[in-house]
Amino acid sequence: MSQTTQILPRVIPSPRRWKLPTPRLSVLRGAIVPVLLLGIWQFVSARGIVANLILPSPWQVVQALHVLVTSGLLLSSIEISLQRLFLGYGIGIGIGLPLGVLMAVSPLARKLIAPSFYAVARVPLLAWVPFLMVIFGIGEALKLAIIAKAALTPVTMNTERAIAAIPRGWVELGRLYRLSWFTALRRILLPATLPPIFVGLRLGLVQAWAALVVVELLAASRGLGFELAMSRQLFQLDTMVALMLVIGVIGFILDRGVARIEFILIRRFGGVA
Amino acid sequence: MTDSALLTLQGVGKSFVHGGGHVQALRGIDLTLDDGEFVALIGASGCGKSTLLRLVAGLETADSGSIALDGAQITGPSLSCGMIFQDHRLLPWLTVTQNINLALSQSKLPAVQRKRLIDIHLELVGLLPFANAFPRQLSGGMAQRAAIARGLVNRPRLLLLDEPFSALDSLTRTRLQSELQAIWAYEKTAMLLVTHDVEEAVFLADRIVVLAPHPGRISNIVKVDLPRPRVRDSAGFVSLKASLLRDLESYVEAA
Amino acid sequence: MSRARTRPGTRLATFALAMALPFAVASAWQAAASFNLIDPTQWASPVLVGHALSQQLSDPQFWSDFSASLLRDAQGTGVGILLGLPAGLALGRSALVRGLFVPVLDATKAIPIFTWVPLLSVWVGSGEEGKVTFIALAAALPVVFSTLEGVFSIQPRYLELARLLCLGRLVTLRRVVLPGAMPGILRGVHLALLYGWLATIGAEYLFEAGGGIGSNIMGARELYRLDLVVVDMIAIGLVGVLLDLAAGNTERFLLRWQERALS
Repeated sequence: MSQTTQILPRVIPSPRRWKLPTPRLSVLRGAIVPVLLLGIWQFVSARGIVANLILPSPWQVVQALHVLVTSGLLLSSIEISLQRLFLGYGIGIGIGLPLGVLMAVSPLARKLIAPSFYAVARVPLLAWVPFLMVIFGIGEALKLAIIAKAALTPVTMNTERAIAAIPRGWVELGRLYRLSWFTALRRILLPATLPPIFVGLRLGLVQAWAALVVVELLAASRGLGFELAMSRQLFQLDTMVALMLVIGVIGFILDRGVARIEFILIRRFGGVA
Repeated sequence: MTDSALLTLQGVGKSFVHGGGHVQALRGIDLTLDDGEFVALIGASGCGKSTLLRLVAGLETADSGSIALDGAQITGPSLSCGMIFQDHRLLPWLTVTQNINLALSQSKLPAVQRKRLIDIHLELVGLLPFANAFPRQLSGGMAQRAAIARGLVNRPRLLLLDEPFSALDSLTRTRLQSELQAIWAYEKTAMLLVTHDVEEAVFLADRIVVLAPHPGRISNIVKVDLPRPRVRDSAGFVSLKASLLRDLESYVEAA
Repeated sequence: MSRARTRPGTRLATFALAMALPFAVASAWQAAASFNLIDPTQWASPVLVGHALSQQLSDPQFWSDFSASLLRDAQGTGVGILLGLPAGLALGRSALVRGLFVPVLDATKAIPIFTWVPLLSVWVGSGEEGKVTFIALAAALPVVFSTLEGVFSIQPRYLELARLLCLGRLVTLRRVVLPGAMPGILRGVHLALLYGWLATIGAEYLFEAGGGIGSNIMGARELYRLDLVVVDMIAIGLVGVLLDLAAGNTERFLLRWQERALS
């Protein structure tokens, strides 16, 4: 901050000064725009400036949300979507983690697999959708395949990078002290690689969730994405907005959840220098 | 004398908030600087000499007292005051010429005249062949020379130098000290130098202000009567340097 | 990491290894098709894909579809960058603007981009405007956040220099802020190019038909023409690679003052 870091503190305690505690102020300020937007929204729709069909009022959205909850549709859709997500994600990391480890550990495997893997990764997931649709049809297998692929790429890449980045010196240290496999794993390998691997896992989850939404919009008969597409067909904008909020909140919670784990891991294990 | 002084500081004080309380960096600073004079500020770490320079530059404001340049109160940065930092602070994405031109961005001069002015100052610091080089292509000494050219190009009344050579190796340092001495003799711009190198101060300054720390205050002002260009191993030089060092050491021990 | 001098033999070996897997897969696929282990009309074969490729390349309809997609992409990404850049700069420079708008922006970023498609198709329509708006949104978000970060990463001592030299707001913006934030800005534009292309394809899937390689590939899928699907996939992937390369090289060129920069 101040250039004068040469000042050695011979600290004189300062007289108590009344100041607005900063955290509260920033929360207040951060709420201004959303509250303002909400107010404008309510005003515009209540006065019928924009037809309620096109812009439902906030209250209508809340009511639609209420209907979704009480009819049980929301819960069942969330259940289906999350089931797909975790299953597909599980497959993705089930393939991605070992693949990443393999490519990092074996130069032969890397030379064999990496070029094809990266070429395949270059083709965007969306471009894969029609291809996978032909192969898997439009059933559950398709959705799982797409979600798995979405998670696969970041997980594999980050895992490979994490393991390849372990400083040579640490591995040699383990060998020098004749550490058993288990100890080496626990004391050296895991702490060194867990945080960056988790970055990959987190990215994978975010991409998997986004992929889930797309595939449910395109080719599903149940789930949050499907309900969203349905609300568009039926021109039920209040339901549509309500669903958008739900999808956003779930995505947010998922991301934060993994971020929390990542944070705990970094605090426990530190990062690789 | 005070009326004709270029720079006048009266009762200047400044404190900072640090941790739970506040630290007084400077207290009761009274100082004048005449036109064309070279004054050096020396002192141990923590005596607030950089703070003082930043106050004169207008980058910070004093808590108490007044600072006036040419009779006008200093309220913020102005083009009458140039400053050289310890890091050369050339913008890495501009060439040397463009960096120097930056100091002229507020002037109304046409481009042709500006170019001439820049070239003159590049010549002055011996960087004319490097006019279109990027900072990353320059050595530390060359970059600092470019910074000096930038500091002088718009003919400021006063040039402030904050430990300009302390990041350089000693050979380059002594060479640049001689060059600065020559530039000062040629341009006759008043200069206020902050340095922790006592030899540098004795080599360059007309007057040396010794600051004591905690809180920063003036403990001594010494006039340097040696003829220029100064000879570093002359008797007068060596004895002055020794006595100043003794002064400084006493403050370090007392702290 | 020092690059070991590779003998021509080693390089050949590396190439051969890299090609081993795709070659094996393609051969197996071709064999299965040729020996009717799988139905070539449904599953195609590398040979059929090759045929389809040469056929499409000489088909003007393919090229008009392709260029329609590229045009859409250019429009949407262009608008997105043009809107995102000043927004990012404003957010980076002003704590007030940041305090006001970052919560809303963070919330927008949390919603997967394709969730916006149904809403936009109602508000802006499901034709060209809807697609371009969606692409613009997908491109703008990374630009805003990356530019913000870029402005943040400008060393404060340069901003102090601008203050010292009494540079006006405009000069400071032009000479200090923009060049200083350039690494972040270019990173954002790079992402915008990639996400914009993805959004283009997705928009062509989800909005109503309007020509373009996205509609093309979906149409091929409906006809179970796997060979055409693969050709389109290659085309889509190629554009992605080219955009990535172009962006990377532009970044390297514009930031060449950075090499060995004295910090």
